[in-house]
Amino acid sequence: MMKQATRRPSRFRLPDRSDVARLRRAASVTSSLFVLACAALLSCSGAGDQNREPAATGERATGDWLVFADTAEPTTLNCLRATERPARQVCRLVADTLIDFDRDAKFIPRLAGSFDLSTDDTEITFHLRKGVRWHDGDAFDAQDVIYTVEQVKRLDADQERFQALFGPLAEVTAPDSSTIRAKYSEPYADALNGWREAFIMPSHLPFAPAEPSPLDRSPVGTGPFRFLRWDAQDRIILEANKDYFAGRPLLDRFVYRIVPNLDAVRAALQVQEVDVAGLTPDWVAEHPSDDPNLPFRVEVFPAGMVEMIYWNLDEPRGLFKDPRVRRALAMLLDRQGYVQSVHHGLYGVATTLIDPEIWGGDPSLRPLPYDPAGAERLLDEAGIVDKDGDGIRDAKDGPMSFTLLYTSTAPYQKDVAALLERAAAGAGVQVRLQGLEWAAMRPRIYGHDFEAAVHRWRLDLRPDPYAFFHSSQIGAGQNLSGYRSDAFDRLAETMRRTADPAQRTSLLAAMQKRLHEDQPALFVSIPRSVIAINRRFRTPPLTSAGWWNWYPSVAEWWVAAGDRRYH
Amino acid sequence: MAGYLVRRLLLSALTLLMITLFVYVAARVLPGEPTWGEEPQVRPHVDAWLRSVHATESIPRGYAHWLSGMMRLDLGTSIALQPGRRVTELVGEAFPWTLTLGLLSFLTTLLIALPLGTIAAWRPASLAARAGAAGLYLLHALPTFWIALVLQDLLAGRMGLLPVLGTTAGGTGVSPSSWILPTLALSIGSLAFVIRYFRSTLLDSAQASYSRAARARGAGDGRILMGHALANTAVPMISLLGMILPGILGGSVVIESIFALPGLGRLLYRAAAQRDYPVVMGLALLTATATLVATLIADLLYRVADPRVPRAGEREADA
Amino acid sequence: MTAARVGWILLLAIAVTAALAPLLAGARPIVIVTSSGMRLPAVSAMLHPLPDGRPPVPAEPASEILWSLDPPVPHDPLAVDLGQRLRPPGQGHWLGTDELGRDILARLIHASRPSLFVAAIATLISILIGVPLGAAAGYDAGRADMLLSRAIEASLSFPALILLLLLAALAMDGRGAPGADVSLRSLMVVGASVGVARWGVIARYMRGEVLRLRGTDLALASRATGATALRTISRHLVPAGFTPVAVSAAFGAGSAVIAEASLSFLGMGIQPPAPTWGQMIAASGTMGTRYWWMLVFPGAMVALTVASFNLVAEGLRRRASR
Repeated sequence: MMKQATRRPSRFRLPDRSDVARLRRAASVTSSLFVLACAALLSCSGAGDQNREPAATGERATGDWLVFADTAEPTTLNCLRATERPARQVCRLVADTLIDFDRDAKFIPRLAGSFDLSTDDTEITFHLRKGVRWHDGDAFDAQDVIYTVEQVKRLDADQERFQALFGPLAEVTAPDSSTIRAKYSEPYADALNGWREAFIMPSHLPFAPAEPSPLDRSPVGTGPFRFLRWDAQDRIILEANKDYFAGRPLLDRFVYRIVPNLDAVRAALQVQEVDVAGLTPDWVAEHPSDDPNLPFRVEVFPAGMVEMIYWNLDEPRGLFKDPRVRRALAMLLDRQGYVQSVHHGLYGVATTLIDPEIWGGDPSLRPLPYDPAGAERLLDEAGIVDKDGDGIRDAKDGPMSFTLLYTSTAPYQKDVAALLERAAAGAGVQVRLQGLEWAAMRPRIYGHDFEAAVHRWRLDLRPDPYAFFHSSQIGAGQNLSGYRSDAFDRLAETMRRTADPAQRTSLLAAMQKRLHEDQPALFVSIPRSVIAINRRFRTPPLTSAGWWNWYPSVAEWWVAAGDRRYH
Repeated sequence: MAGYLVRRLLLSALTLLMITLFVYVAARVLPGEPTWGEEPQVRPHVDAWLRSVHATESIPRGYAHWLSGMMRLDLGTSIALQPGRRVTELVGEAFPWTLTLGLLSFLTTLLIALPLGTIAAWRPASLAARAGAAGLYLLHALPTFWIALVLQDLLAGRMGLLPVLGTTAGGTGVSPSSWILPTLALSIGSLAFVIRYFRSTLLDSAQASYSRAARARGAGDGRILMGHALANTAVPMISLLGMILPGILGGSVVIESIFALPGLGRLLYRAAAQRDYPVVMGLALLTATATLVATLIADLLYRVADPRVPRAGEREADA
Repeated sequence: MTAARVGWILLLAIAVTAALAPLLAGARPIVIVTSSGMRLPAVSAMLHPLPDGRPPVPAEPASEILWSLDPPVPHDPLAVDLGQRLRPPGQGHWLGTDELGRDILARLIHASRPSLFVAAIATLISILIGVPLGAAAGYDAGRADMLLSRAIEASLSFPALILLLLLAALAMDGRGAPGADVSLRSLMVVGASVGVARWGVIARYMRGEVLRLRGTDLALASRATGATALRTISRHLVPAGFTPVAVSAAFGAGSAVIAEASLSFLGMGIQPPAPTWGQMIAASGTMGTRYWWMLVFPGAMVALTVASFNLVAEGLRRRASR
């Protein structure tokens, strides 16, 4: 190549071919190395497994893991202190209660081999199983039960937790190391419920309720799974307890993965990075559960949940004091339309907080109709009219305008809130929306520091409206509205003392009628659980009792030898 | 040189002090009335935090007391995420993940940007370079989380080529392939900047006096580029890390949330959302300090390597 | 057509869209002509920074309307329509609908307002803080400069999103007097936070320029006529050295839009019901990216807006270096 004799301008140019070639080679070598590196890593990846149909037959044997995904991480795994769902899900596997529910919501023995109620419902005698061991080897006995009850008492200054769990429990004694006698100061029909909720704690690992304890991070229980590890923000690993008194679980491990993003959960289910997780109704509508291309099946269960909008009845401007206003607001919301379109008809419309199709909820109780015109008439009747012509109705102390809180990370609360906002705007009521993360939301609603709030409850199989609307539960309890009704209080108290199922049902119906008329909250919908379960798991028939009560269910799940993914 | 070093360290210490002042004042001034509930389990931790932040004292006094607490590297305990656990523990658990993600993403950015920047410097006015620049603009203008969502959906969810999540269920929770998507998504954020940086540094080097001297000696442009210019970009690469570190730390917040990586970014996001003030303050302090230190080291190394840089006593145009 | 010109045109188009949003998309007619005269309902809506969401109140029955002109996109950005959920782009909804049946195009148009507002507020605040402090630092030769430079360095040490999260977590909790506009308040908080996060960049450039110009004839002449330091700085040095600041501010406006989108994605940005692009992208994330129109269009809008800011900034920079 001839090099030019004159000086070129200093602008960079590249005339020399061999240098061009070298440069090109350098650039391409670098890029190829990068691509090769990616390819090498890709070939290590386990993703993209083919979806296989599970083998037709297989021995019921132990093996494989179950990977469960949830969006929330427990704040603590101390089964005494834990009140939130993520923590309790893990505790149900790691710890035991004295008794449990079976699939038909009947009480069955767990840590207690048998139990007797006295004829006047004031005393329960539990005969504890013998030979049960804690995960660290110590023996379980009556002392642990007494210790647990003491701890519950010490949890909070007002004994709210104790009240909620045990009610009028007066005394717990241990005539011998495998018998427990619980005496109540008055007949308490729901006594057994509390013993189903209270996880027994090890008395040989005591801790002070206000102090941190190693049990917060690594729980010790007697349950079917033993705690192995908690990788912060990532996963909690449990392994099968081979010495479990009811026989070891068939699965080797239970992995609780924390995945913050619903979409990632869905994608992970599809590529089998996750085995079991909750889905949304949109999925069910788009992917019928018998779609053979999906590696998981979808099950829908009643879940005991209720979605509602709480009105703060003690709100300083008294916006919600008039029941006509509350009824009007309920009539503005097209709940049927919401449930049909957003949830593809999988959710139910709520009349009160109990699912009308399941628990002796009263199916004859019709939800308030969707009637915007009627709602506006009610508002006019209550004297809430637009006095200053700005398009917003005016109440006694100012415009009919309030802030509606909702949990920003909950999938559908934003939708419910937006719906109410639009519906109310059409009737001259101004709703301001504010989304908060749960931990910012929680102190606001429990502290009664809100005007209106969207909230969801998950009720137990034997629901007790006492906890939600009795006037004694206003302080730090769950009566978030501040609802005070003597009639309701009396009904709720009576039900607590009644064991006869027929009477309980009629009391429950009366209570619901009361709530329906008073509308202390807007009962929006009854959500159902939509769960995806990887097809390789053989499960016993799953019902709602079997679902949200992990045990005995999960401990009986198994995977045929040919289908196992984890070893 | 030693004098410069000492002066620089002192100045950085002063900056560090200002960082702590800012965080403290923000924490004292901004929140409204403490709104935490009366839950018996959280209340003692909240009280402990209010004490540690000297909420009852005036701001200057409180700052002085708080700062002396900071000297002991005590960042307090969490009040919402994991009440009772020390912030330093939470940070310690999350840190390795963000460190790995950050390093991998920095290396990836270099690996991609170097060839591309070279090509851009090589023929700056060509159609390819212009089209590339336009494409880069668009890429740079897209939010990182958007790109991450698309990548996750396309490559992992739909095509199944890569894992969806950044960790695995089994084993140690780490697998090489699960790092690819998060790293790629994070590195794209800084890509445009780094490519342009390489391009301009290479161009500057090519026009510099030593290049002219080499050209006068008869060296071809290619040799100048490869031999001299590239060698000279090695030094700025170190300061490059300092420059894009804030971007990487910030980007990790969304990337870790999307790919479920248990790192500092995700910790910060959850802490901010749940108003876990001790954790938020601690992380803000730590990341600012890390950036400061990285910038300082990069600056010092740069000046050690390149003797032409102004010395102590001269006012720099760029403090 | 240079790149910078493309940038200016795009920016103008987006700004006009934002300004005229209720005229382009909404349920209120632009013009109603009745026998008793003419009304402009949509125009009054233009004055509200965010969609106020009140349905139009017809002042006269339909029979009396002689002629009316509706906006080209006849959907209210806040109007929920459960029967039209998640429709792909097509008839009636040119860009599809979201999870509550709201028209995406209308939301896209109205979302330009909060985004541009945030960019404007942030740029303004960062200039208001950064220019005086940077100029003071550049002019002073001693302790004040050292302290201010430390402050600048400190503010630059915080990664932007982290600083934003810190401020948002501390400042936003949905409070306010009853009737306070939560959306508007959150918009102010986000704008101010982004501005506070960026003042250091502006200040650094201003300082550099003032420092450079301090020894020039411009400054000397000004002092020679007896002007005070303040006058010299504000009247002469700052305007003379403003170009790099303007360039940086333009880049900053672009990153403000991304910052707002990121905050909204994390749920800590501007609160609903006001639509923002970040919220729309976030919603697509929870709905599943199979509803691609919810993901693509807001993302494209963010990219276009940011790109236009960047192009404008590049153009300014190129002009300055000539």
